[in-house]
Amino acid sequence: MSEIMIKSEKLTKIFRTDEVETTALNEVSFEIRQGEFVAIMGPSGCGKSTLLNILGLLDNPSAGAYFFLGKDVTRSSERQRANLRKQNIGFVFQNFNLIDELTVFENIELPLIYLGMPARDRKKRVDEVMAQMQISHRAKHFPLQLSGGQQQRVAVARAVIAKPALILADEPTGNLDSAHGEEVMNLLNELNVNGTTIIMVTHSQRDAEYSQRVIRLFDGQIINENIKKSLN
Amino acid sequence: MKAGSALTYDYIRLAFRRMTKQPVYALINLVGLSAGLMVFILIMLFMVREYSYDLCWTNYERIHRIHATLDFNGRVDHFALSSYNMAQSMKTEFPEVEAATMIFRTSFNDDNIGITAWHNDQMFELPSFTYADEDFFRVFDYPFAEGDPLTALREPKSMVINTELSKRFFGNETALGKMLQINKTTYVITGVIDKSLCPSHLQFDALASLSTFPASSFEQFSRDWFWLLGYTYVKFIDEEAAKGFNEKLNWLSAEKIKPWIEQVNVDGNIVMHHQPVSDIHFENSLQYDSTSNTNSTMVKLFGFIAVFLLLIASINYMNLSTARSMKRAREIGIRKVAGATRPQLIVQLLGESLMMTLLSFLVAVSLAEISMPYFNDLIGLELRLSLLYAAASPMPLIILLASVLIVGLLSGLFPALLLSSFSPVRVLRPGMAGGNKHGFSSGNLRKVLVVIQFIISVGMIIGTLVVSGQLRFMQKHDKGFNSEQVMVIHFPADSMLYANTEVIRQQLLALPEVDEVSMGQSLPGYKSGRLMFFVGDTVKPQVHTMNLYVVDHEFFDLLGIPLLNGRLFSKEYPNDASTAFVVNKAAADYLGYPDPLAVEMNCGMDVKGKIIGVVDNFHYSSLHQPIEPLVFILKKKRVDYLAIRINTAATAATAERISSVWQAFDQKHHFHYTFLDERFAKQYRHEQRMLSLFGYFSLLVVLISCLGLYGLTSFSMEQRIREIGIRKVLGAGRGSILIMTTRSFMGMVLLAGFIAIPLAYYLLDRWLSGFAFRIGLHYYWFAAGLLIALAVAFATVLFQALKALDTRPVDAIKYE
Repeated sequence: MSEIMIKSEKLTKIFRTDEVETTALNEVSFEIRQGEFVAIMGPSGCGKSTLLNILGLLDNPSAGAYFFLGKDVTRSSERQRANLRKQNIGFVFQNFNLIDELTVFENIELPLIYLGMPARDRKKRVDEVMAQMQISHRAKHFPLQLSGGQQQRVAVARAVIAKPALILADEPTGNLDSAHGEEVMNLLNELNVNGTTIIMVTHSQRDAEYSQRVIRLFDGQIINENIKKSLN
Repeated sequence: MKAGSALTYDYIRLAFRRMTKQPVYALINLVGLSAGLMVFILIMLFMVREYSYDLCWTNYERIHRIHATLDFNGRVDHFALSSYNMAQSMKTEFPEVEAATMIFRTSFNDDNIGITAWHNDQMFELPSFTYADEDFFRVFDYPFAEGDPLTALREPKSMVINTELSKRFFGNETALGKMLQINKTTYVITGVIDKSLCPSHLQFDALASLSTFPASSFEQFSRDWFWLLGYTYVKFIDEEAAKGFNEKLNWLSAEKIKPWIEQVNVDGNIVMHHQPVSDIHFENSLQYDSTSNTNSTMVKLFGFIAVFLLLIASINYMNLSTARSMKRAREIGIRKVAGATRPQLIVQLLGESLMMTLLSFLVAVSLAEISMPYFNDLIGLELRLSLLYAAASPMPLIILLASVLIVGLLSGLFPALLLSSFSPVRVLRPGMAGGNKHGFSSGNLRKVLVVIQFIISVGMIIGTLVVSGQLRFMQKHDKGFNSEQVMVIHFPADSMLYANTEVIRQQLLALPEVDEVSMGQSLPGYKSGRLMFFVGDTVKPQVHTMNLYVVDHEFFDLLGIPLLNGRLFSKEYPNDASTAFVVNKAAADYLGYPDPLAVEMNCGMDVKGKIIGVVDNFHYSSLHQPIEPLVFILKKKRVDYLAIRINTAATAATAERISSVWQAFDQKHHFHYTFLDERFAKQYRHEQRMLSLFGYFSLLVVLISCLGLYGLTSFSMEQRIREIGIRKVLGAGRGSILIMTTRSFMGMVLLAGFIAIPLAYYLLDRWLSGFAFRIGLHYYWFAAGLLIALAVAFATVLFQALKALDTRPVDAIKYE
């Protein structure tokens, strides 16, 4: 058995506005081991994205505890979380979230800059990943000049550029047609085969097929977990 | 490349791309900041120049001017002048005075009339010259290009000229030993000084040795403590010595002057003062002070305007950046997700504003260089950019660069703090336009900033209107005499010409376009002399100082000044020149006799007799001053001005014919003429300049504010396009949408107006109080200022609102 990467203990997230209190997550507990491919599913508003944001250290839980790589990060400072994030986590979003003013190359390069990698190494690494994602010929293009599938490949390239141990994907195929969607799922699958842990929020049963385990959320609670494939 | 520099490169690259992708926002910022910085640079130069007067002398803080206050019968006059005896006392009585010098006042200083000088049969024009004693250069250590400062003014008929004149008169030859003839005196050039390096209140182009005057003159000079004929300067041995010097001056009054006053049996008093030479440039309370003096309030006001302009441009940057923060939120979120820390993002965003400011600064420097000649023309100075870095002190340059830095940081700080605070969770969610939990407060801040911009705008517009109103009032105000179509010829000091005055008059009168000719030493718009008059009882007469006009028989008629009482000077009374005075109404009132015509009077110009007539008041000086008591006497020989009333339009041809008559008598002097109304208007050149500057600056202020408003409205319309669409679907008419979209902006300008009006009232009332004759601060100036601002702002907003009106509701609703 590989080591536990993520441990969630009674994670709770409550959103408060002046009038309304919404419980997005209600005492959610689970573990994810290194190298797993986990899909989180559930209807809209069930708390999938909230969970992913907390797992990605973008947001804090209201209660409960979160252990990342064996460390309690529930109350970590913004700086500590930014550090953990840039060294360990890559993100893929439904709407790609590329910076329009940066070229494909520059978008992919961004995390490496914040990691402080020297320019020559950065170029080498970006070139490798672009080749791997088959977007080398688009290096100098801007995001808006690309198709949706290409944009998502750039986003995946950016997510993996720093060789993170964990990739969080929030409906990665949500804005893509089925052919392009499949391409992206194959990419994620390949990364998983090579050892990257992947947690993916999705609506699509087809995409969930790629995962080894599905966590189903409803009204902020886990209603069941299916283990579909044996772990490597 | 290190990570830090990679980031910097990344930021710069991105900032440039953003500028080219959103040229309107970039341009608004660039234009605003460049214009603001350009004006800032120009005004800095102006201020550097204004604050550098008389600082170039070695130990300038030890140099002081001695000046006198005269008090006769409670009429107190503060003069910049002192008497010859005062200067002599400074040299002999006080051990703490290291050196003292006197420089004469000449009428040439005031009127800017050239003096003709001859060298080897060549005629030159000296713009101005005066006399100073041999110690002058011990106090004012002008750099000497030629000659010896210690001896240059020792011998009689020595003359020191400036390098500019030397070049003009003698080319590249040495000027030393060259002869210059002025009237009947031939001077030897004993020194050439460089005046260009030293802005000073001392206005002269050439200095002749005081010892040129014959010994008898000095006897006369020293006979009278009241005779204020020049300026006295002392250099103390140290700064301490200056502190207790008032007591020494009081001692001098008690020991030397009081006994003399008692001896001459005059009911008057002299008080002496001293002031640091570096304070003189901003001195405005003394009579006969340097014409280069200026009002420090005005200089400071322009400083404020410069800061205001920068502030307004910075506000544009802040407002546009925070308004557009929604658009950038995603980028900030992505960067955070990619590992950027908040300090890194703040550095990036501040870097952007600094870059924009630096870019604008470069544009501003070029603009300043280009506009320099026009600006110089406006303010009547010769400024150059090199004043900033070539100045004695690095302070101006430091202040300028620091200001650029501050503007960059100030503009960027709030947007940087706001944007970097965005949470990536909120901003990266699909369909989420922004994650601005500070949305409310930044919107309010924008409103506050826009209000500040328009307070300044409305204030400046009102200021421009009132200044122009006052100027027009002064120009159009009935001066009490007829100044139109009066040509004035400056009469050179030449006894040959004095002898011919009557012939000249007759020949001029023979021209069909000439109606009348008057010759005298005084004309309205020119400086008048002030004299002591001994009034009443001959044993113990009252002493009054009043202004003196030396005129001829035709003076009153030519200028159309009405007689109120008695008679004017008349050829039927041949003794009028030595026995008769005419006074203006102000003098008659001031003297206070029930019947002024019975009053006996005498003055030092060998006139002793009665007041024979009272004429109506007229503005013989500018409307800054009240109409002061004025006494007229009849001229004897000397003439300074020749006034000619012509009956046709003042054309060049008429001037040509008159000048040919004149030049038949005189080819030995430069011929100068002007028109009396032009000359009179020149007294308001300070206000004229101020108005021009004010006008231009207001225009810039309003323009930059409106640029910002334009950017802000365009953003706000973008945001509200969906709301407008929905309202249209629900049946809203164009009118109601127009009101809805423009209301809040108009409200801000209106609020700004209500704040600006009392401020403007207070400041303008203070400014107007400097005029003896002034316009009232009527409500319509303020209403007009506010309306103009409202109209310009409305036009700006309307342009955008109309664009929003024209969008089809279906497009607007699809927008997401």
